[in-house]
Amino acid sequence: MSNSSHITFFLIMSFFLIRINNIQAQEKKSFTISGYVKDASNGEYSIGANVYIKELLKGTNTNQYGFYSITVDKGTYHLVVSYIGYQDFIREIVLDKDIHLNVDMKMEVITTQEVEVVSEKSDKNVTSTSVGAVKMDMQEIKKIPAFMGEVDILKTIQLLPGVKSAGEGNTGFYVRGGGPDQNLILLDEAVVYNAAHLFGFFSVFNGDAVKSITLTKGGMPAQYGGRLASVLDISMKEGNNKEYHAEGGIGLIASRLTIQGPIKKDTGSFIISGRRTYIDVLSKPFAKPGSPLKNSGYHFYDLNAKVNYRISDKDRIFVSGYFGRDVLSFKDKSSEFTLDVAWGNSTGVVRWNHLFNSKLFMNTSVIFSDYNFRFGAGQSGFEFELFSGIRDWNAKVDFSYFPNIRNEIKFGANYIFHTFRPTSVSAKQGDVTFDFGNVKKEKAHEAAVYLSDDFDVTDKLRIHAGLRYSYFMQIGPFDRYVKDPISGQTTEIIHFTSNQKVKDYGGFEPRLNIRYQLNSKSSVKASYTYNLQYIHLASLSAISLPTDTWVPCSQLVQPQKGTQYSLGYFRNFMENKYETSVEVYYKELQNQIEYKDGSLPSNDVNDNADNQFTFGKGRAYGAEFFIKKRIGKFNGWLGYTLSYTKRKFPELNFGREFYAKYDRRHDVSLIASYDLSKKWTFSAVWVYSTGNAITVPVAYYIIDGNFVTEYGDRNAFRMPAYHRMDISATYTPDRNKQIERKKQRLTKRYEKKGKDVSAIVVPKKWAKNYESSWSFSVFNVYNRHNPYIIYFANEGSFATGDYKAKAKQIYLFPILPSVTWNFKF
Amino acid sequence: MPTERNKIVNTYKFPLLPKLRDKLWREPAPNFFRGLGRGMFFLLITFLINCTEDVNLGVVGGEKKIVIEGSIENGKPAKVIVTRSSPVSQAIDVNSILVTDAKVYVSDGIIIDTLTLGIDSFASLPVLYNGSVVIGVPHQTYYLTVVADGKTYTAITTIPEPIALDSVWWKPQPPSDTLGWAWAHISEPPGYGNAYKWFAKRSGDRRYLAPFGSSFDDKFIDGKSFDFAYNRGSDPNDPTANDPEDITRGFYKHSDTIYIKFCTMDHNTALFYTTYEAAMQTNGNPFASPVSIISNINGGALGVWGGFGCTYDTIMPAH
Repeated sequence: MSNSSHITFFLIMSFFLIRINNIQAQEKKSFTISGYVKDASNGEYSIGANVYIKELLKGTNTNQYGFYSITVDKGTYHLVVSYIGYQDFIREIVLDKDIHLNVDMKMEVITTQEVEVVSEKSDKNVTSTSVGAVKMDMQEIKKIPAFMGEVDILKTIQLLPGVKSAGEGNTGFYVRGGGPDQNLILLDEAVVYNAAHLFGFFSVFNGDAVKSITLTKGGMPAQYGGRLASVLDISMKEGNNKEYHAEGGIGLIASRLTIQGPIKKDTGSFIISGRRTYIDVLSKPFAKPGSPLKNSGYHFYDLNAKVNYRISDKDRIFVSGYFGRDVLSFKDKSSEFTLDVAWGNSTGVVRWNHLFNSKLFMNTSVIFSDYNFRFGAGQSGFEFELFSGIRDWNAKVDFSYFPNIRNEIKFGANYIFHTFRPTSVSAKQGDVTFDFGNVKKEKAHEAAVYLSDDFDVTDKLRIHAGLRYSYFMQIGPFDRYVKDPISGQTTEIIHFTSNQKVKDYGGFEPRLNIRYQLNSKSSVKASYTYNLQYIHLASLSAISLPTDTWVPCSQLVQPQKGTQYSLGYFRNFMENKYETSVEVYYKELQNQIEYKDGSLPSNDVNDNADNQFTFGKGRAYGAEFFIKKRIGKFNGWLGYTLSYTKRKFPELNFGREFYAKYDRRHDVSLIASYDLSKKWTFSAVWVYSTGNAITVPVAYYIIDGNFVTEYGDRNAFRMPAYHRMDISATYTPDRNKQIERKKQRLTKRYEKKGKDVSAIVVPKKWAKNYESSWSFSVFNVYNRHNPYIIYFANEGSFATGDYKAKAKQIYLFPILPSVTWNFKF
Repeated sequence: MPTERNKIVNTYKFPLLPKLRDKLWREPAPNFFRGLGRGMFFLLITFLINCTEDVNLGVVGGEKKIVIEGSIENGKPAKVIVTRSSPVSQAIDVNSILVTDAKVYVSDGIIIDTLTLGIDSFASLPVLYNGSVVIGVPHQTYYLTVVADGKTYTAITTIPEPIALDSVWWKPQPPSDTLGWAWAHISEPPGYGNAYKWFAKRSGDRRYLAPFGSSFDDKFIDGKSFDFAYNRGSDPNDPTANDPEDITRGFYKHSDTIYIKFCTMDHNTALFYTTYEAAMQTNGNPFASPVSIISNINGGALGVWGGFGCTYDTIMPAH
């Protein structure tokens, strides 16, 4: 986008803001109703609940902290609050002054009849301006069959159209042709840089600690930035502020425990949640002394904690954090070989919500986020260590301003101090330490300001217009290794001192979403977004590994730029029972990075990583079809995506355009769940996608007597298609029957001992609060061998005349049943 | 870089898990609980390494290209092997690999040497083109021209100043006291830009062999003085050399006489050999992405034209 079009955009924005002021001047007789929407049972805020005036059929959604504010003319109205899984709240209000109303939402009683009663406003799919945004509740996610019984947010969002999995054993995901580094993954506002455990079999998000998730794959609002493709916004639970509860689960490979309760009833609460895998603990005591197993093993753990406290009606403090690690160790005394690998994220967030008045809400956050990876190995006096990581300190302030029912204005600012640690290596042989350079850290400032307005132009036309300005500056200390373009040798080292500017970039990022409501059941939405991204993930391997490193923009690396156009048609059927949509998108990406051909990981040291990069552009386009049955005993969805993702690098593939490795022509997800009775729920998932694009050998030749490989065009071939079906069943025992059974057992015991049977009392609390369920699942029901990796193995030798090359695939998981027991009290 | 590092990289590869599983399976389980614990770990490993199977991707195509492997060493004439690549879609036809009708010229800028086809049973391939007039001299640049299958290919290389090793010796590798590696001490001259290649052979070997990881530059070791070791490289043409049951594989015996050839090479030659070694190491490693070997030959041929500045040493451990 050119500068002039940026200015035009800015002018349009200013026009609307002026318009808002005019509206305000005219509406002196209007009043505001505002407050928080909460779950009545535990005091958790409801994010994205629908709050509207029945008479006007207009309203808003609660923000991330459950706050809403509606300003309308003086009058008598019905205020309706609806939230999935809860009974609608309806109250008549006489609006002749500003009203503060906190709404406690009651859980829906699950009987078929009541579920069928649909609130009038469940047509959010059609009416909101958000294009390509999906909100999911944990209840919904927990129904879907889970791999080894571990509920996984990242695996679930990959079932949505436009979101593609990187394949089995890989939690990296791809949104509309963007790379895995182009997704902004936020846990309570803190960036999570690597969301995967153990080569991606599990994500780092413990389902018990998560309240809700929102994925934005197109039409990214202006309050988000720094990534091109998507925002995955995950909110942790706040903790029950009414009573103490514990819940958990015992599975085949991991167990979970969550404890929550009030600090002060209705005022403050805490939640602490942990999860750990335990194969290593179970196996260790039984390993023979001296065997490699005794000192080897793998485990991961996650710890989430959050505290919140309401200081006054207008102020609230949240402190939350996450800490997780993967630890892999191997020690073999006989070969003196040791291996230690550990990686993980930690985040910490302090937030302060302040309500200036019933129309102006503010949140201020200080956020810490860290990811690091360590690989250590040693043998016979030789020691080798490799580190990489990224650490951020982030401060931000966000305002929501609700001047009237037609406008919702957001503005704010954000500052991040990044410390990158691209691959640093240290090695020694005996007493001699090899010179891999000092542990290098690269530092940078990133800042942004934004302003957006979500407003009704007419009753049918609603616009979200936003503008973001972002700025990035890499600072010293930094050494620039200048290369001779012909010999590749370092000709000069330019030293930048501490805090000295190395290079800076900045730019405007306009965002525009438009919704035109055709009638009460259907609408057309369009969006245009332009995003800048100042950090890149450099990946050498064909699959995302924890070794992939984050690198900042530099003198050589320019910011990634992404422009996306999307258009969608949304229609609900049968009184909003069915939601359907068709969306098409076109995306252009600039300044994409790849390693040059023949780059080796060791080349990062005593050098700048970016000297190994080559730069190019990309484009992606596709169509997404979605049909969802939201309610009823039988529900689920079907998504289909047709897409093309291409890259073009002058120095790769002879300058010819090639398919990105995650280019998927076809992608299908089918999710179905059926509530048979109060006891049994069944669900099934079926997925299909075109195989990953790969580079394959086309010829062999002889060098120094060895056969070596010549590779063909980049990503010119395909892995076999990926498809799989999972099923699960959840059994929730009937509480009354369990109590009855307990009574019977006690009766027998009493009778045996000759005690008075009428004295038997089953504690009420036990009966009321205790819940348990069994979850049975079968992964990969029809035992499909889906390729994890394809590689080429050479067999035989030239000398014996039987030399041949064979493509081999490794598949990870055959049919895998699992069982998990979950409890809550 | 020295041997140990390569060892580590190799051990970290995929085969680690099957070994672990086999070990688990072999050790007896004295009681039920030990068996259970081990069984679970066994299951985990089993599902991690699960099956590897053949897959047909329907790869076709791949044209035959000219492959040039040429070198010129200080004090010696040029040697050039010319072959053709073999497309994967076809069975490897040994007869069509060798190119015997090429025209090969080497020049130092003044004199042109026309290489002649000859037989050398000590070379990696027995048929090669030998030079006679132009003899390698340090700091001199050499130009190669090959005309084969109707096309002309050219390349340039320079012989750098040879850098001698300070000392060389043999040391047993515990737990053995009769099998060991060849060690050397180098005082690397200050100033970046040097690259090295290590070759060695025993008295009975056909030719000098480069173990994997034998090419390295001074990026990490510039100006340092240190010891390093290499294991014994194996001859790919010798069918007995890669017998995994052979406990002496990779080692020099105490009774061996070891001849060391230690050479310097220019940047583009080093780039070829380091990417070649990386390609050899990642070949068959499912976690690695394909490494393209970077050739310094112009005109679309594969391979290398390398100048080497070499020094020679001998180790006789028994003496």
